[in-house]
Amino acid sequence: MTSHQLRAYFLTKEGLNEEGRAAAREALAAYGHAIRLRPDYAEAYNNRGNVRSNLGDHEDALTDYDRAIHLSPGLVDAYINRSQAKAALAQYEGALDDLDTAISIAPDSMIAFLNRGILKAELGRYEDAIADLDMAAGVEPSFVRTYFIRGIIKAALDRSQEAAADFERAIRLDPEFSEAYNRRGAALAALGQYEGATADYVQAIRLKPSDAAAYNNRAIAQAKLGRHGSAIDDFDVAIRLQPERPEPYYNRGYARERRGEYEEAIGDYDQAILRKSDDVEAIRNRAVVKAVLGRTAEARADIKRALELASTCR
Amino acid sequence: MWIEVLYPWVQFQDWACSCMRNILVFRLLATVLILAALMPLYGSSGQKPLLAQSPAGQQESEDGSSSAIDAAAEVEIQRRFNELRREILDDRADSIRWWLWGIAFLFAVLVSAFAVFFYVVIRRSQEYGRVLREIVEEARGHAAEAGKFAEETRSYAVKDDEPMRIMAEADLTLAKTQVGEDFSRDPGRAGASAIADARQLEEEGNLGEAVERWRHIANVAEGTNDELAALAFRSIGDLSEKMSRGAES
Repeated sequence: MTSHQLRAYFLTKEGLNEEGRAAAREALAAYGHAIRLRPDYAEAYNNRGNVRSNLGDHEDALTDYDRAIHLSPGLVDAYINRSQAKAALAQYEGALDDLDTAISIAPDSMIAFLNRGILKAELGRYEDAIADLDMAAGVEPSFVRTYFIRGIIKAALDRSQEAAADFERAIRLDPEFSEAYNRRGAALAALGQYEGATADYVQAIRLKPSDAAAYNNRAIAQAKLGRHGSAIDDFDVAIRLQPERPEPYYNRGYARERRGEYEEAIGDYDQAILRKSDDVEAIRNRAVVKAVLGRTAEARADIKRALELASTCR
Repeated sequence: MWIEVLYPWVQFQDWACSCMRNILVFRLLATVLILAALMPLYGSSGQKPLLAQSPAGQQESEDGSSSAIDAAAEVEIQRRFNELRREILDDRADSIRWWLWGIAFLFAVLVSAFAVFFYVVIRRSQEYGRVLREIVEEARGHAAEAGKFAEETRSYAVKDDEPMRIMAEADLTLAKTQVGEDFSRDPGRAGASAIADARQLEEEGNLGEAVERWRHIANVAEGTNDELAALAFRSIGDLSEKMSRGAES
């Protein structure tokens, strides 16, 4: 494993929990001492910027990165990190400029290519993103995350076969990477290989039994294979594991609708809409079920609402 | 409605009964008057009761002429009596016939009414059945149409609108990089030894103990070797930051 791999990390969007935030505040105090003792300590500024960014304080993080770059203009990590803070503040062009600078300083910076690829994908520039990820994979072929992210982007482009191959590489490099199994399962499902997808979801559940996504996705594969009973059982588990997510409710509603369990389907669509009030598809599907049940006035109201939402989304 | 139809008939029946009753009363009154008129003829003692049928040959008496007159009168009385009785019986027969006709007529009317009623009920039922069948067929048509519209509505959905939604936990989050410690500086022999110990603890995963070791180094070095103290505080920051991620949600 290279030093880049050791030093790079990905913080989930949920961020730090309370314990993590307490530790982060200790880190901030320590960096403060270090900077007080050595005001030219560029690395300390960079690392303090990371802590501030992790705490959601991107503006102050930018100040720290700026200071680090001012003190050490060749500090590639500071550019990489500053680009992330800028992206968090929706300063996308500035973020891309920082990554371009990082790559120009260090053309072998796998992280810079990886981040630029991710950022371009976020901006919808998928082909450019894949090109950057190819570069990242060329620089450090053993970095699992590069294949995983490239697989996600290829799946979004409906290049499911290539996506499955990327997830396969990620799994080969890290056989315990449960999310890679989950993603490969989705890619195989998109290719109509539902049995293979189910096997991947089983692996994902084995590695992470609390993975609601794996249960939800396996349920979809089961439904595609006509095993509606098993599908509904898996949706039940997914809902139990992550009751705040609307997807399993929506999916279970759809499965129940297909089975002719209209009242139950309406209940599930209600729950999905409760969690995502602008869910046009859920509102539309509920309208259809209500129409089938002869609840015409309610169906008409739902259709009206769905149309209003659809027109505002356009 | 039936009461309105039947009421005139009931009124008619009451009127007819009243008439017949009057006729009977009149007849009975007439009979009583006739009998009262005839009573003096039998007023003498030793006469047989008026209504008794005298057996043949019992009317003979010792006086042959008066007995012949009496016999003729008796025969006449008997004949009139018989006529009267026949008239009474005829009246009764008429009355019974009237009643029978009335009952038969009423029965016929009731049968007719019931027939009409059942006919109407059956016709209505058939009509309702036909309407219900039409409604059911219409409902089936609506259900099929609703299903068709459902599919059609779904076909208008955007490409990404899959019938079911997959879930994925991993986001496309950007990587951060923590700049590693630079040990190219020479903190001095004692400092180098302490740093080596702290690094060893860190590599063994004892981050908490490593932090304490670095804190000790920082306290000792601060004021005398600020560069080492700064390195120690920065290392404490790095380790605390790692621990914060270790506890991330």
